[in-house]
Amino acid sequence: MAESKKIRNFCIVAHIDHGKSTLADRLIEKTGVLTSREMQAQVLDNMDIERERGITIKSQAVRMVYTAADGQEYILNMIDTPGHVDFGYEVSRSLAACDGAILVIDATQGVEAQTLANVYLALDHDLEVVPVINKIDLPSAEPQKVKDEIEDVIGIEAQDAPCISAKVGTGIEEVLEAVISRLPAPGGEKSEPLKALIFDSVYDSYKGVIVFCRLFDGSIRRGMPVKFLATGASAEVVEVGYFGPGRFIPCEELTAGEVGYFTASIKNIADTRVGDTVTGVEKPCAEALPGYKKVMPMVYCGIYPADNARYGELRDALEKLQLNDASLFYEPETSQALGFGFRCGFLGLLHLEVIEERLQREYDLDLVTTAPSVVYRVYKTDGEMIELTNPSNLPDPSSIDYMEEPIVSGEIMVTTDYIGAIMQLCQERRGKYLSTDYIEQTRAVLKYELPLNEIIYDFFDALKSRSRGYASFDYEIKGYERSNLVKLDILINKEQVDALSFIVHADGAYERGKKMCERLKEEIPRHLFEIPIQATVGGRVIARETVKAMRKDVLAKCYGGDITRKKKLLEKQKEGKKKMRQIGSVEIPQNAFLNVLKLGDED
Amino acid sequence: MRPLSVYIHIPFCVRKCAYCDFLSFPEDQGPGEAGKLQGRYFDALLAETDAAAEKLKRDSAAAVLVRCVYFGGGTPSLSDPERIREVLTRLEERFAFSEDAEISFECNPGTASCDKLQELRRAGIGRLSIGVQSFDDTELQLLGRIHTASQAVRCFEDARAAGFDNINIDLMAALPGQTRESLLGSVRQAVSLAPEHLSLYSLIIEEGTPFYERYAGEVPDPHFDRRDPDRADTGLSHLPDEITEREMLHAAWKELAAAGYERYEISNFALRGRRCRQNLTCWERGEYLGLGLGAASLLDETRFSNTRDLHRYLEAFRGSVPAEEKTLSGGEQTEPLSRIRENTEHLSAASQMEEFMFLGLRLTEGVREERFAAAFGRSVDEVYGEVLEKHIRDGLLMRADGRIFLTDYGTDISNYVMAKFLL
Repeated sequence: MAESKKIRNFCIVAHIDHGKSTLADRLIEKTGVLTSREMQAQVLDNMDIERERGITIKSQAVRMVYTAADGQEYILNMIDTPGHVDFGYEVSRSLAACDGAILVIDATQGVEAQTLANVYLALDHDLEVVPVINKIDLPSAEPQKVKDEIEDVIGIEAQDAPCISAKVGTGIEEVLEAVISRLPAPGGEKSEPLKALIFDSVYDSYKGVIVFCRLFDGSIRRGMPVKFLATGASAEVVEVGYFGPGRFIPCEELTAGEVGYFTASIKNIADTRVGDTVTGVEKPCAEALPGYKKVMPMVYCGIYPADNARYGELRDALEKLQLNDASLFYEPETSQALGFGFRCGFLGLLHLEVIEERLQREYDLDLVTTAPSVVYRVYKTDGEMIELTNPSNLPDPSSIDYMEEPIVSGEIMVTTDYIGAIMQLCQERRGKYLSTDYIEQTRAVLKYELPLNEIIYDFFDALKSRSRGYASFDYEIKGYERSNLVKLDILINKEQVDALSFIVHADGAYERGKKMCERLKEEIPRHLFEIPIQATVGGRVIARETVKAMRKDVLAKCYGGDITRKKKLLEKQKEGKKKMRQIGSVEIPQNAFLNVLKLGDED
Repeated sequence: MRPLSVYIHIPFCVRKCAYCDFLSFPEDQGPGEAGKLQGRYFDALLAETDAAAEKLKRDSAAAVLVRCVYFGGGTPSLSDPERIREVLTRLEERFAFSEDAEISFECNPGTASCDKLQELRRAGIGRLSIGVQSFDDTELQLLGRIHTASQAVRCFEDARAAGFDNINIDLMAALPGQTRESLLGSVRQAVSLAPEHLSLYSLIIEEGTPFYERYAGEVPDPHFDRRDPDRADTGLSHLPDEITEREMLHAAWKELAAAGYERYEISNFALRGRRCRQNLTCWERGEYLGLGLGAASLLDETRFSNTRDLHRYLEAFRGSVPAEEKTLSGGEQTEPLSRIRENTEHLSAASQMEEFMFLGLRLTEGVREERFAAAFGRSVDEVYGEVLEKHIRDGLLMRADGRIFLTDYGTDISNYVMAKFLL
């Protein structure tokens, strides 16, 4: 138990690549929790994928002890938030668990769209924000310019912001002092009923769900019966503790202002939803903390085992992943083309990719993934409304009155040189232009409304390539709008491949159909016969390509010294065949299903 | 008796041809003075022959019987015939030879004078393989050959005059700019010379050759019907496309069949009784011993090959005592082999079956089912039943008279078929 005025609860917010994780590492190193030798770079990003991609997927927290310049010992709870729009809600809950935030800004890049989005989010949660200018060791660093920009654009005082290099390790002390002097201590009353916010949870096979929480009032200790206000679940606390780097350290009690965890033999992670309020059963708090909402998947796709015999393994793997990730949704589905698999729901495309990668890496599964789809609302003539997550389930067109699709409001920050190119991109993606706000002479924020299905595939890549990496993008779901949508079907050798069907705006159907056919032509290996590839809308062929039959595949020479080489060549050929899916009489490489959907920007 | 084929590699050429990826050095690029280098090479070859013979004798219960010897390159005809005679003599001292042993020798028309051919004949060479490639001078020039078409004709006539009654002509198809007519022209010219054997290879664009730099972008992908954007732009589409290539090749096959040449392998044609023994050994998985730089061997179901590093090869045998003054023990004599033999692979039963199939299917008559059963103690159906059934159904394979063999279409896409026989 710590005196609350000696506690600081804070998070670090930053645009991707501005050095958030590196700074977090340095803070941990500086406060002596771990020596640099013990630390694998970026302690807080636990998963391989997080470290490799430099993104944070799960919230993490660590408690540090720091003796400040005033001679006092402080407890610093640092909560690392996911850094991607897909996880916006988790970010907001993590922020709600803090009293202040360190805003990291790259001295060479300045303020970016995500910086703005995250700062506004922090300010919305009444967090005190301390800006920190990072990467001042780089030759192109312009700290003064960035400071001015922070003041102009964000409107927070920045002249005495610490100028640091997290990579080199300079200025770290200054950051810690700023945390102590400029961020507030937590409020709250220990004597009040328990009121704690869940900001994350993980599943442990021995202890059950481990709930990460921030206490606003009251205290929590072993043996205490607690309940979860939103889900209504209740349990008896088995263990409480706080976060050492990479491990849990049990303690007697957590009190108002502290950040820590508890376990209560909870088997179902869905009982402990992020954002929910925990209180005591005996002396409950009067009302829940504000802001809880149930997160809904925004993007769906079918995930199938490459080898149908491994369906059971895929199910077990999804079940395990869901234990740690309540936002992952899945239910069994069947595809004619792909056999038995699951329709899975995700927060966004990154979330999808992360889950796919984890299934492949951690569970060694070969997967076939279908086109990601957003949730469409189909209003039928009989008045019924269907939320469509799988394009194959679209009812007969004659029974459809109209359809709606999800729309996002997006903000794109871009240097003025690329405004034209980005506006054109948004135009192509059916964007509705709202406004242009100039931040300074050379940079502007473009505001657009965009259909979600236009940005889930490759919008980020297109944005980067058209702006040479200078544009940044942030969005939030705005709502549903009526739209002229059609289902595009793909026929390979006259057989419809359900896994390749998708919903598209009628105006873009021809272009998409044509590109799909062209791409499939490249992806489908030649067979002994010609293979027609057709795109159809409502049974009408709108595009066609043909894969020519195999004509020549022969090695003219094969003598004594060539035999080993020849065998390797044949082996390679055979290896390629393994990863094929049989659709009628045509074999299609598994990765074709996803590759055809990645329509490059230049196409 | 244990039948054996011997392959001897001579890695020297006047200059490297533009399409060639064989292990050879242009004379003017060898380290040190060319003549001296070749001299050292032949010394090493003799020492290797001694060592290899010694090792075989020690490792083998049955006595080895050499049924054929093949000098390949490079350009063996660039060598001093005296040194060839030495190698042959040494082989005959070390190994028993069958009475009808076939001694083949590769010859470049630009390096084979009348005298040289006679000397080679006297040295014991019985079969000559002439690398003609084309009877069209434009094509020859493009290939980077050092001879003209008329030189090739003269070479053939000289060989006959020297007493060679078993001659092969090598021809190439699918050359850049080649038409069906120019290929048939070369084939007819070859037929008019009446060689006993003829090889007709479709050009392979090999990595690391000047041709690769020039034409790699034009090579059609056998497995995907992809457009190569580079190719569309160059406007220099020199290689015949795959349909033309197959058509011209099939036309050539027909021409050769009409002239009495049986296509007994994907690229090889022979008059009755004149199939090349050395080649058959490879496809039928007979044993062969490779001598010289980079040469490959199959002995005791083990594949290995010699180093491709000339310096390393020469060093291994430097100071080896000539056979006449032999005082070394067998062990000391065979020791250098361990320094040059690489990539040793002991073939599992599965590998042997795979090889049996994909090598055997190169032959027009295919594989004999009873030979498969005799070699592996299992019927071919037991191992490959499903694959056979599918490919027969698809019209790629046929089964008759206890043989399994490729159809014409199966031959055109034989890699596709053969890959299915990997276990």
